[in-house]
Amino acid sequence: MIEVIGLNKQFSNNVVFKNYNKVISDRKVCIEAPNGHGKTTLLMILAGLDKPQSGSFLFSGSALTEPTKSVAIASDRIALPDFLTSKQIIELSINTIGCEWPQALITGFNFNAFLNTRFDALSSGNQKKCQLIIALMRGAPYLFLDEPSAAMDQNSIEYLLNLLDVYLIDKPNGQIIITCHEPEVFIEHGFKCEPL
Amino acid sequence: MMAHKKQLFGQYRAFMAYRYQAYTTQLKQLLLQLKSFGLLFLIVLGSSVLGIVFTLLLGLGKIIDSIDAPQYGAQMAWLYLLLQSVMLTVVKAAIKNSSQRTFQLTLVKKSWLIVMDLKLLLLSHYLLVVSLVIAVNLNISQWVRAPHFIVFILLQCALGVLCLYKSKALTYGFILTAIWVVIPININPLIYQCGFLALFTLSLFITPLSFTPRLSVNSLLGFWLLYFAHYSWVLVWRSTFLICVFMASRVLLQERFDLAAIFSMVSLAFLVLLSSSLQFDCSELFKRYRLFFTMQNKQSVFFFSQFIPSLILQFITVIGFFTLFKSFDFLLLVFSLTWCLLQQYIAVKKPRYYGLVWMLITTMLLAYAAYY
Repeated sequence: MIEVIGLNKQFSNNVVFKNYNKVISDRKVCIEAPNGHGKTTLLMILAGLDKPQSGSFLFSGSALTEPTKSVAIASDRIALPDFLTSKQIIELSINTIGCEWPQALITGFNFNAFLNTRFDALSSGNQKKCQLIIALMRGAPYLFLDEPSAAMDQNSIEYLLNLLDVYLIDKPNGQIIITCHEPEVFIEHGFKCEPL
Repeated sequence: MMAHKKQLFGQYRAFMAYRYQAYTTQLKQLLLQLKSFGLLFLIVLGSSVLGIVFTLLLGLGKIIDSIDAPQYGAQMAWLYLLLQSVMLTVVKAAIKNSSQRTFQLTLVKKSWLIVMDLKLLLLSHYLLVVSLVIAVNLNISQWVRAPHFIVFILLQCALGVLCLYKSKALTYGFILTAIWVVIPININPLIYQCGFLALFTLSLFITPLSFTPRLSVNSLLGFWLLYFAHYSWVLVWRSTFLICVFMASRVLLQERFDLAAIFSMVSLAFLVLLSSSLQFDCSELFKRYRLFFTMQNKQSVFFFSQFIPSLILQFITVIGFFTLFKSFDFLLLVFSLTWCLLQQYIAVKKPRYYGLVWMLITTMLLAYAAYY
């Protein structure tokens, strides 16, 4: 269960969250809200990548001292080094996190042919796959995916859905939170829609 | 028939007006970017325009009158060509209107694009204009002594075109010609210039190498190395200006050795300026990929790593500086690294004051050098 308590966040004069409170208790949740209402910002704050003006967050009843170790996130807001190839980005992540080469994920997303392509030369669908591979390979209990199906081909969406079906089996306190504007396929796979 | 020609002419004029507008707009944007370095940085550059023009004319004089010292003249010509290539690379995107290249192709045929590219290239190629002005003013007896100057002007034109369309070949050409000008042989200036022409032509046929996709990136060091491999431009233009500083210092030392203390301080100040300004590029990179490294729990290491490239560049150039002035001073080395670090800090925290701080310290150093 994730609890957001008294969150305040604003960019210059734009107030995104004002004393915002939320409890996310379902294990697989799809957050819905119109564009610009703060879905991605909330995920970034929960992942420890964006700092709010104030607020606290509890993951299974306690605050995370190092959120980046327990949370994996895939979002367009995290710029990946576009002068490196996908393989080099994955290698760099593996060496800093200390996990195995994600061959199963690469094959599943049909990504083998693009490993030696520079990130800035990848199509938007393949860029999304690269982000997902980097997030999924960490095996973190909390998985946040920002618009995971955007720009991806049908086969890859199905592969992702099958992965998410089994992702939490070995993570008793884990949760998956996604943001999505077309949640139907995710609802079919056990996600519960929640407004922001 | 006449109506068709009139229509074509009208289309061409409209296209020309569009390209001029795009060119001036992008140049204005470039100036705005420079402004972000700090207003005083611009003033420093602006106030030294006369000095720069004088040095350029002096350099051209050495190229023309190189019959007695052909190798020195060839080295000067190489530097001059490198400098013009750097200057043209800065405005290349504005000349070609690169960001709207495909859009242009939907408007007119490709040959019109090339005609406009060449027109704008001529408009931006100040060093060629200077050479042409000098060429017009040379008399017959001077031409007889400097036939190589025609080949040099031809090279200026050709390298301008290479810069627009074959920048990789230009890089290979400069590497080959750098070797050519340091070989200790005594040949005629005309042969030196023809050698340049042959080597730059040869570089057109070299297949571009790309080794970086096959490299493994296992650490932050690999990340930085690949960044500089891909964006080598940030090092190339600085290295070019550093070579210019060293060459200018060498010439000035030959002319006025009694002012060596002042020249050394000015050189040192420019070394710090060029090395520490690399921080602007490194900070941009840090801001862009900060979240990626935070996600990997490497935010602190990544933060500190952004200061290292400038310091390494400063260290290397100061060693070059000591070699040039034939002295080693440990205190000066420490001072220059500290000054570089201070400039880097200001570049990160207060970029508007970057130029002001540099100028203040330079003035104090010059006062100190003049007093003692």
